[in-house]
Amino acid sequence: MEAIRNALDFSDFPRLDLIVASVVGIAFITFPLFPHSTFAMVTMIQFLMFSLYGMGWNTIGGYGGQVDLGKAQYVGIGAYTTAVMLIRWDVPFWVSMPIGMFFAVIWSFIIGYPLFRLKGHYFAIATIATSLVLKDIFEVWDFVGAARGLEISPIKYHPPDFLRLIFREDVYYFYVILGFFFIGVLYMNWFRKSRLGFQLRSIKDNEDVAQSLGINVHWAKVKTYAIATAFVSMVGSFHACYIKSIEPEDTMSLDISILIALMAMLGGAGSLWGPIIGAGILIPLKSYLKEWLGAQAGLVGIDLIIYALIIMVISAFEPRGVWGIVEKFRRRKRN
Amino acid sequence: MAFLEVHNLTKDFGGLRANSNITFSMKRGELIGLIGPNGAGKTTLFNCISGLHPVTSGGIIFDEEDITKLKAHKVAQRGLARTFQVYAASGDLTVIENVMVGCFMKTHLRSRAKARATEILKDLSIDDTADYLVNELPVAAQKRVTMATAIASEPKLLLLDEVAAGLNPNEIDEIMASIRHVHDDMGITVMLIEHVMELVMKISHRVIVLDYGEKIAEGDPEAISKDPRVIKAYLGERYVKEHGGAEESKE
Amino acid sequence: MDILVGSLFAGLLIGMVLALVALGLTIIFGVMDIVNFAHGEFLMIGMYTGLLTAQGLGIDPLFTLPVAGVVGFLLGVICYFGFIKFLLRGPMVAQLLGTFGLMLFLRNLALLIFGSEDRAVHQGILVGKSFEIGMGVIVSATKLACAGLSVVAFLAVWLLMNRTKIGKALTATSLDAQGARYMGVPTQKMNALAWGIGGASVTIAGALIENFWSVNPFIGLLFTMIAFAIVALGGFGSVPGAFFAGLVVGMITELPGFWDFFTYTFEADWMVDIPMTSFKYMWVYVAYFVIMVLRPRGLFGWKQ
Repeated sequence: MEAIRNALDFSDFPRLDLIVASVVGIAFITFPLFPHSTFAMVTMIQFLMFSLYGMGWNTIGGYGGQVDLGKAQYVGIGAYTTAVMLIRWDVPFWVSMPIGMFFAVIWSFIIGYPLFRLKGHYFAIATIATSLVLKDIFEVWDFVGAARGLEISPIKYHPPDFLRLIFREDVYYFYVILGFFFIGVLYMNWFRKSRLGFQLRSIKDNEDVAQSLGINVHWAKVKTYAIATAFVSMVGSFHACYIKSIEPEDTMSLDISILIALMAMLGGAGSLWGPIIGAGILIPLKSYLKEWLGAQAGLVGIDLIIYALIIMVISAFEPRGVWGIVEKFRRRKRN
Repeated sequence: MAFLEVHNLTKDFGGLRANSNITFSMKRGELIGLIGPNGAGKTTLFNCISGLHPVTSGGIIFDEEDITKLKAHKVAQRGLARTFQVYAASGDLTVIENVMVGCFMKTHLRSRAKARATEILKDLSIDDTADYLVNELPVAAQKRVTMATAIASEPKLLLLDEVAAGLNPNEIDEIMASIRHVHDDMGITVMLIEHVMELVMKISHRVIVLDYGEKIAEGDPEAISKDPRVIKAYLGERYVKEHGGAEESKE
Repeated sequence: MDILVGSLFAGLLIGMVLALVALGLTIIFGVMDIVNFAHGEFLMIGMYTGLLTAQGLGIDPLFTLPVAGVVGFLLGVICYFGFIKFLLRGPMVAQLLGTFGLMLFLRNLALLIFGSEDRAVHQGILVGKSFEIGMGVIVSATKLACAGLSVVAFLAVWLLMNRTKIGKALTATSLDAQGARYMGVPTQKMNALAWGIGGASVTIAGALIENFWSVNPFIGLLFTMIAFAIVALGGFGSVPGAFFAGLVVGMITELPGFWDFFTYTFEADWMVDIPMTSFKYMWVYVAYFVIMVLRPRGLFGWKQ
């Protein structure tokens, strides 16, 4: 099928990019074989997770130009579906994850339809509003453990459990998420070349022109939003099995939503590599800052201060992100 | 059977009447020019026809179908394409990608869209710019790109909005050749808004003139260029709003 | 019955103060189309300023308003020239994320300086006193005073915007920045002024609020969201809109009171089980969503 061919075809990238990507890819695959600290492994897993979150966001936020700051609610839907189904009914991950994606997509259609009547700031604030509403509901809903949240205790199961995704060593989790990561990259490669991808980019460019080219703008946005939610929910389900303890404040807060958007923006919204680069910079940065600075007595929060300053500097001076700089540079060289 | 019929089309923006009771019709295969001073409502008329603005009153029939209430994307899907005067590009799409968006209206496959887009670019002699961003190109080429994107959707009717604005005489000749090519060789019915008189008069079968939102004249280019009402609209200082009646000369 | 009236009144009072919180946001947005995520953090700073001044100088919290106002004004102007000015050049994504960064920065700076425990006002002329205003409704004196001062502040800003030359220049810039510039209105100064006035109004609101709400570095977000909801409801850019929308939102937050009234009156036991109090603010968000989809311009707004 042409779709699969499109997903696997990276030939429209310059040679250099492909070489770097391959090297990095191989590095990822072989990472556990090199000596590494537990901390590094945890950071790697987080990096892969947030790359995926960022890639999902990138569909509607980067290519589509619709700034969505409410993605955390879908992390929650994915995480809670998996956690609840495992704890109560012993449903394996590979079943609960698609179900979580299903719920997420349904919810995204319900709020997406009215949501996309709004534009710009109003849209962004509305996305935050819906995410906070869902979080508030989860915080009082006993079925999902309310504010205490849920815990998955590995003792009840027999790790390594590939069905339920319960492992003792991180390295298993690493390879699972790495698998998702590669699939995600292939999917995004397909997406940016697909009809929907082109439609979105045209919409971002100029909505009137897009309409007069036969594009049903509203529907394209809603569809893409659903795709983004599916991505995010998928990783959310993984999150539940990995972290094994979820609560609304951690999983569904505004901070998470912003972080997700930030991955793509910092790395370069609207490009394939952007979210990966963004996550590659922000996640290690956040982790190491916390390790080195956050723990020092009397300096609570200084890691976040530095982190915030970085966000501010990037937003003010290089809003197109790292990849934007690369492309600008290349374009100038060509002309 | 009329291909495009506009009856009594009126468009109000709050208190401002941009189009007032406009009626005309077009046959398939014609090439019609739409002229008038700035602010006459020409682009608004295009916006109404192509479905971007809802009309206040009146009707539009395209290819025997009433499209008055249709949204812009549905109108486009029925074979009515248009270009835009002010193209505020965010600089994200290359030339060929732009044209491919048009192609995607007719196919779902990227390979086919790309092939068709390449063909069209070659047709309009801009295939060497395929990988540039639209706003990196000189104005004349940008205009060709907007035309290419519009015809990529294989329309039956094409509305061109000031494609010759800002071009020098050589470029005007080139774009005229492109328009002729699109009309004669590709069999697309064309209506164009233009300020560049030599282009409109040379190329159109018929010309319609708008002023202050109303249609003040219609006829072949020769007659229009001599019509006192038209001359007054463009050159006169004061313009008495009388539809088709005799005016006082304010010399 | 007195529950209903009591809730209504409480809602109005808190609404007036919330309106003042939202005022700054709507002015800033009106003048330069930027949504300030750090708005709640300004409020938080206002609260700390009021608290510390009152404790440090030993004066009543209600007299710390001018200090808070000055601090807010300076803060707004500094933020503008130091950061926001650059942010305005970029795309909206960057603006939103940028002010979010500012929010994180201010919040954690406060955390660093003040620590995370709640602090509250304990002494003051009006603290602990209440009035009865008939029908058995009891109203706390502090809340009444704050609401009153809020209205005063609102009037002051409204007068400033509409009756002074500077105010008119601000309005001109918000309607058409370029046009105003051609008329000699210096846009940069207007922007900075908008941030100054916006900052001052919200810090004053903070100094008022801390009379009956304890402060910690994290309360900013809640108020930012409430302010957003108010501004959207009232119409981005509209000062009177912010006032009326503030009252509406104030009453929405008192919804649990109404709910209790209904459950009592109609003896509907099933209603009692729904924990409306926890949902106090959630309804604000829901209201925002519903109103924006149905009437994007808000009640009074002229900006789309």
